[in-house]
Amino acid sequence: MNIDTSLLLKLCSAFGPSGHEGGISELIASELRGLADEIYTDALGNLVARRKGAGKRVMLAAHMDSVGLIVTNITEDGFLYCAPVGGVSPFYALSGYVRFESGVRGVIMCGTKTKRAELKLSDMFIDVGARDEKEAAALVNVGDACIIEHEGFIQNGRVFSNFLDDRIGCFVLIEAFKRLKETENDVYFVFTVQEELGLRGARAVSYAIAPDLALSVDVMTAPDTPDSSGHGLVIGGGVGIKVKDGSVITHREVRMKLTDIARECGIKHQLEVAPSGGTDAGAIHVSRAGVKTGGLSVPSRYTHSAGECIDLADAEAAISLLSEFAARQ
Amino acid sequence: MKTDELLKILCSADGISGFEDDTAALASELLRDAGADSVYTDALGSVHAVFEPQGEPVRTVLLDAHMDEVGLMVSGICDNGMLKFVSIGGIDARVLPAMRVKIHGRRDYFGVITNLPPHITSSADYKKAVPPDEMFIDAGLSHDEACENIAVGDAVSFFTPAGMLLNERYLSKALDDRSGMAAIMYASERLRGKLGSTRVHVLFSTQEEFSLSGASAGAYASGADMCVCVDVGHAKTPDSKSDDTFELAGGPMIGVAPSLKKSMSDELRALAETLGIEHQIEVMGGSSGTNAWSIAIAGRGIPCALISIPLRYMHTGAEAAAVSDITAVGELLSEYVMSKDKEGS
Repeated sequence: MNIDTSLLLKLCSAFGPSGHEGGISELIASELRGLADEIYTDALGNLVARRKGAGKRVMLAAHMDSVGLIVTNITEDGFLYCAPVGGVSPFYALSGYVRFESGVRGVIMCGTKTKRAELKLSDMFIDVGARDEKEAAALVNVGDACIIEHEGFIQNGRVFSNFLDDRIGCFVLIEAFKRLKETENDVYFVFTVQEELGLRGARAVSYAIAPDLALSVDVMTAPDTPDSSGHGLVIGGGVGIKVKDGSVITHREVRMKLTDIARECGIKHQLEVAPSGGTDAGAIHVSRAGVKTGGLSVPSRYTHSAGECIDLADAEAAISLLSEFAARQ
Repeated sequence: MKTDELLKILCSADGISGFEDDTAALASELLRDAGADSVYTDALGSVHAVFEPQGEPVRTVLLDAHMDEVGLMVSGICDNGMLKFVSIGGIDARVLPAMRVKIHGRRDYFGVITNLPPHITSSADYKKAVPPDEMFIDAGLSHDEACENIAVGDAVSFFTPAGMLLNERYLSKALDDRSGMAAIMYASERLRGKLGSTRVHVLFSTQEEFSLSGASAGAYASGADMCVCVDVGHAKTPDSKSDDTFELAGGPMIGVAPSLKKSMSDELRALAETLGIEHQIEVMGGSSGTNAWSIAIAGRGIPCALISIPLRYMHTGAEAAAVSDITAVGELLSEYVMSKDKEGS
């Protein structure tokens, strides 16, 4: 295994809540500029890096946005109230460190009288150290978005970090691009926006590209921790080849192709049938007259928390499978 | 072909959402036999058939019914060889215990969904429904045999025989929406050679029960000017409420809803009255829960009407419909297309 873990941690710490993907987009673009034949950002902010070819249009997608918060109100006392950007659990958010794009930091907390068992995001506030509304307004505007962040780490071959959903997917795409062999295929590596708001970026960019074949790479929660169902993906069990989740039943041809390659190349894999959860494949497959679409998952734990967890061996398997898939006819 | 013959053929296939190939093969053959000018399958597996008119086409009418049925999918293999599963489509878990199923693995395997006999069920549990995650499929296989022949992601369909009840009422696990397909086949055969300027585009779509995605993509590709969807609606049973259910054998249910084109609903209603086709009006506030919901906003938008066939016991292994309703929907559908054709160019 030869994984650039420093790049992975850099991707995980970049700023990019849904609708505010400029920071993460620039970081990814800087990694791919030397490799791609063409690199551009579309009207919605989707980043596209293309390896031109005369053959089939193959679109590979990972979303670069993360969940976050957006300030809705500043109180006279200088506290900030906020709305969720994407699915944010109040339990995961409580006592988090937040950061705005400007670099302003804060913490998200609740009052001493708030009942913890009934915790709602609307009861919680951000403290940026302001003494009053005026001081707060000097640091943050209503409408500013922020992320909850903690420093990630790697231990025992496993990565713990915020935003592995879906910076691990972005990482898999970047590394697969680096390893991409000579191919006839016209390959589009797409880093989508607004996935956490409902697969929105992928919808527009797949309309524009009109691919013959598509694959999305995302995390999928593994129910392999204590007091979970225990049936489904396990982290360290190999890359997940998606059969279904809450947003898509993948195309059989794509699925077969992925399992065939995995078997042939000895890539550890597991089949994924997830009762819920969605990914960009859900939007891509229904684009225009329909697109043969599949999905790869890096099994992960604690999705949308500050301590998401994946196994590096699964990421390596995903990179191998993706780069091989992208080059095949 | 008579309606009951069409039903017999179409209901013989298994095909949960995403696994419609067998149904697609049967449908393609029926469409070719009905004289379609072209029949093809698209990227999402939906079957398209185009019937060209005698003269220059000035409009394309899309007729949609979905091919997929509800069912289950293998989601895990236990150490003892029992299979875990998830539902595909909306299934009431209370109908599942002791249901016989077919697992489409390396070959088809029969199985049964686990159920505790009353003798060894506590009186408290006896009154409760078993949660779906506490049920398994027992295919009689050991763990190793199961792993060798069945994979996570394999489709599972209800294994319940189709057949005719008294009074021409057909029973099958897949009348939702094979009955709609039968009505469209009936209409297509009736329209053969009768259209001057109207192209009929038949779409037998995939994945309605999961995401409506087959219809959305298929309708985009059709470039149609208008669409009539045929699906099923809820028929009355002795235990149903009267305000949201309709008479079995009471004729086609013509949909009226904000998402449907009102003028088309009105035309269908007027036509049914003129022709003396007994019919019922189904009013829906939000989503119709059918392909019409996604087709109406496919591509540049396609004005949609919805005709539903009254159906009892929807999404179970034994759905029941009246053959007369299906035939009447086919008649109304074909007369509607002919009325559009008479509008000329």
